[in-house]
Amino acid sequence: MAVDIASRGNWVIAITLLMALLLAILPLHTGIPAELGYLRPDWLALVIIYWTLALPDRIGLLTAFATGLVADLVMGSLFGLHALSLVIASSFTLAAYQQVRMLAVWQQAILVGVMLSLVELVVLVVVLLLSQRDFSWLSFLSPLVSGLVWPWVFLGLRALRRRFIN
Amino acid sequence: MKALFQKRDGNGIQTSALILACVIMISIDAYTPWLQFFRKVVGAAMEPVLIISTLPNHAADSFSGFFATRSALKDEIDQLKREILEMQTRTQKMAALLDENNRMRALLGSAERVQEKVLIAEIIGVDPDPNRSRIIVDKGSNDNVKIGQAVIDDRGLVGQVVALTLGTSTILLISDQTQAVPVRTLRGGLQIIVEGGGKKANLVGRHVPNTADLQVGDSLVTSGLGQVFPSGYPVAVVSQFEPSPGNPFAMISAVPSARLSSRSHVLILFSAARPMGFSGEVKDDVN
Repeated sequence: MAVDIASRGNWVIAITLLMALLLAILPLHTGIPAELGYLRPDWLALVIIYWTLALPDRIGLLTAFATGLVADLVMGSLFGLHALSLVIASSFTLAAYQQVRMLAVWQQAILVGVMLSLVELVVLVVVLLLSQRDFSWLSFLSPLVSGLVWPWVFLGLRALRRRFIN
Repeated sequence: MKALFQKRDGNGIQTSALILACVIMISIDAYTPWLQFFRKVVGAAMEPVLIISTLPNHAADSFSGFFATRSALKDEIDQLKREILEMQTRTQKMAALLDENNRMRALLGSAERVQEKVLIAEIIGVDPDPNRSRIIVDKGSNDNVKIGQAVIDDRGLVGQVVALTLGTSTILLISDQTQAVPVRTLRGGLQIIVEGGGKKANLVGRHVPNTADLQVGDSLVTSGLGQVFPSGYPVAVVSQFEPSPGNPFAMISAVPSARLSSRSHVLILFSAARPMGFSGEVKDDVN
């Protein structure tokens, strides 16, 4: 019985990660200026953070790592880049999950925003070191939007978890 | 059931190991081509995800198309018929002009211009990173696409193929800041290089002398130098030319001719034209 629930739960988690990936690569409609792309929340990070908070025994660093690699393959970014940001986000979450769980959702949202900003900074440094590409401070809008979106992600995924896993 | 307050140990080591693995892979991918084969094969499995990601936009398009009125559709058909008629008139002369052009080139000792073949590809994905300008199309190495091929649309140069999987190709647009295109002006043959402006939509001209013979409105076409982009394809139109007396070079902006934000189709060029040396002899390049 425990095995059944566990494997069904994994499917649900996998589907939510896939949906996050699709949202992450969804092309903007023509007519929408590309700058709005900076306002995209980091869906993959948000979903990984939620599942790491909710099920730290099951979802951890390796899940984040594997998801990141798949994201890199789909998005064509440097192999390991998304994996790096998801592993860092996941490790921060694992280190403090007990305390974060206790917080109100809006407090979690602030933490998520700050954490993802740090992750964005790390990724920026890595990309700058490797490719001399022009970067934009606008990239830091994305973690802020992610933080704003967190409460909805939290509530939605929690509803799914309660329905399918617990 | 594990105690509710048990801390997870061994985290630090696993984290550091994974982070190190990521950094190593990023460096390998950035500096060597070793991972390209892996991406090419495994990347092919990702194609369904890309196609699914374009469905919402296609659905939105057909939804609005569903509501188009009959008279609007009829108007559109009439206009398309007019455009076809105009283009057929222009191409009538083209066969004769091509022939005359080839005869004159023969007189000058230059090799003939060979027509390039094209492959139509549909855009199935756009790079979501706003700092990069790349698109993904649905033709890959299975369709004989190779890295480095030039890509155009009906209005002008779009970019070049930079990555492949079995069934898809990734195209770097000319508006990406790591892309530079050698061009010449249609009017006077001045040769310059334009680079993608990245966040700015326009292309930027580099190292153009203040005294260059350039005007706003000049058409820039590929010059064929560097043998990456076949020559003669429209690239952009100059929108700003400001000589700056203090600097050695002028400020140039140009608006790309191709519709880079289009979401439908592009044409991949199979260049049968062989690159020519300056003295006009043909170098055989077996592609």
